[in-house]
Amino acid sequence: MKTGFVFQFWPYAATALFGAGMLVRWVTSRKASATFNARDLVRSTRSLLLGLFLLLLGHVAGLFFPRQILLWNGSPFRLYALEALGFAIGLWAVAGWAVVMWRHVASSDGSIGVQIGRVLFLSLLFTTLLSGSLTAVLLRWGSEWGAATLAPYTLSLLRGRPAVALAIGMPFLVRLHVFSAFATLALFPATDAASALVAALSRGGRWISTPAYRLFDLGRKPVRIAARRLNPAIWIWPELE
Amino acid sequence: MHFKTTCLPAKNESRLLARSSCETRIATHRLLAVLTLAAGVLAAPANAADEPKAIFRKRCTGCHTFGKGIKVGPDLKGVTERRTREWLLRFIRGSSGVIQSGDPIATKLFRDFKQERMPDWSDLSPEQVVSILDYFAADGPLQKEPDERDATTATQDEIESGRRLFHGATRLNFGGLPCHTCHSIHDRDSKEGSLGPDLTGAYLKYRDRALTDFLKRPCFAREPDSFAAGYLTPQESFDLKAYMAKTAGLPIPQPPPSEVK
Repeated sequence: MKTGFVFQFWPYAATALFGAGMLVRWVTSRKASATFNARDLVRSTRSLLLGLFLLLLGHVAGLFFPRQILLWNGSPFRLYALEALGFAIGLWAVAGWAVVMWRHVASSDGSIGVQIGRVLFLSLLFTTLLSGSLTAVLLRWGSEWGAATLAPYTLSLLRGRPAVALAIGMPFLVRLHVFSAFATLALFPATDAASALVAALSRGGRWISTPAYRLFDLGRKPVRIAARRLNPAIWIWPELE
Repeated sequence: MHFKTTCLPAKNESRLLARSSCETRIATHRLLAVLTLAAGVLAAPANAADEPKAIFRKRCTGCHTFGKGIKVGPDLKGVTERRTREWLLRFIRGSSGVIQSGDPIATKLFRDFKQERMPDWSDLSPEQVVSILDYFAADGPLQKEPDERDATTATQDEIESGRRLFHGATRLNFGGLPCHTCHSIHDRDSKEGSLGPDLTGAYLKYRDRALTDFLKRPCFAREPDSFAAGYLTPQESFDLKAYMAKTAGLPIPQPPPSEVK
């Protein structure tokens, strides 16, 4: 398979797989009775989640504010500080990953399908984290060249016109990082963490929708009363009241 | 184009209306002048020095060569020595008028070149024609671009300019990222980027000619310079080459004291 093809279609295919997988999870988890405790999962993977969240935040900042980051990097000291912080968060996420992997190896809860899904996902996540960390060390300085290559490539994906040339010119480690990141996204619905996310979203949805429905119902009540009073049928057939 | 700049004072009511209309016209003319100026500034090429080259390529090369003999019209090499500037200015902007006026040189050219008449480039301003003539006088398309020079001819200012461009202290003309984003070089201010190779010995590895060719294109696709009108200007390219030659340890002879300002 040609590299250009991979960087043109794989991100969309991975996102579609993620969307379809999450939809299936949503449907199946609604039918199943609360089999999964999302809170326990979050508690046991806290370090990894925090690391991933911070890494995602950094990548999103690089995507939408490349000019500001380049300005920040204008001074070597600030550049080194930013890169060191990014690398430290990466190491934190790798450590978090190791804890989760250790727990998974030590215990054998869940069906064989769940375990395979978890192992595949964790392996891909490790590839993404490791390639990202190695990129930070070996291919310096990502916060600088990323602004001229990967940020415009990702934005071109969002626009629906992938500028593949921006990605395929990168070294293998960077291409591996991009590919494995999308592969991790595609495989996420195959894990029990997807159930946790669905459960959390469902709970969040209910939390938002219930007061809104009550408010809507409160507004409907006087309208219903007025409509009943003004209904001409009552005047003709009072026994209906 | 002549714009009226003042209105006569109104002496009665009917003239008051005329004066108001006159003032509106003047305001419109001023607005047009400002817009024309703004459009001119926006439409101007990124580098004003490139304009005569672009005009030559677009309008002259169809019928003329520069130093390669007769094509449809005469060879333009040395034209600024054969004819006076005034004559060339008149002829370029309206050759048919000059021929019809019975000018002996113009009529002879008309006869010699099978009565092929040159288009009247009346849309070119006198300044643009003068810039083309200056370009011809400076050897036109035969002149060497600054980056064609050997790095050993660089001055201290050019090496310093190369250093500033390499390390991002001076912005590149087309907005590209400075070299130190991806490369390291053994010098002060180096950020030690390692996406690309160390460039300390690059000059010795590639030598002048190959490095000149290498600097004509970006190392890999990136924004904005890969998709902009250009990558490096010839002068930027030369300055960077000179800086790399210096860091490679090449002894660059200094200009004699008499030439130093």
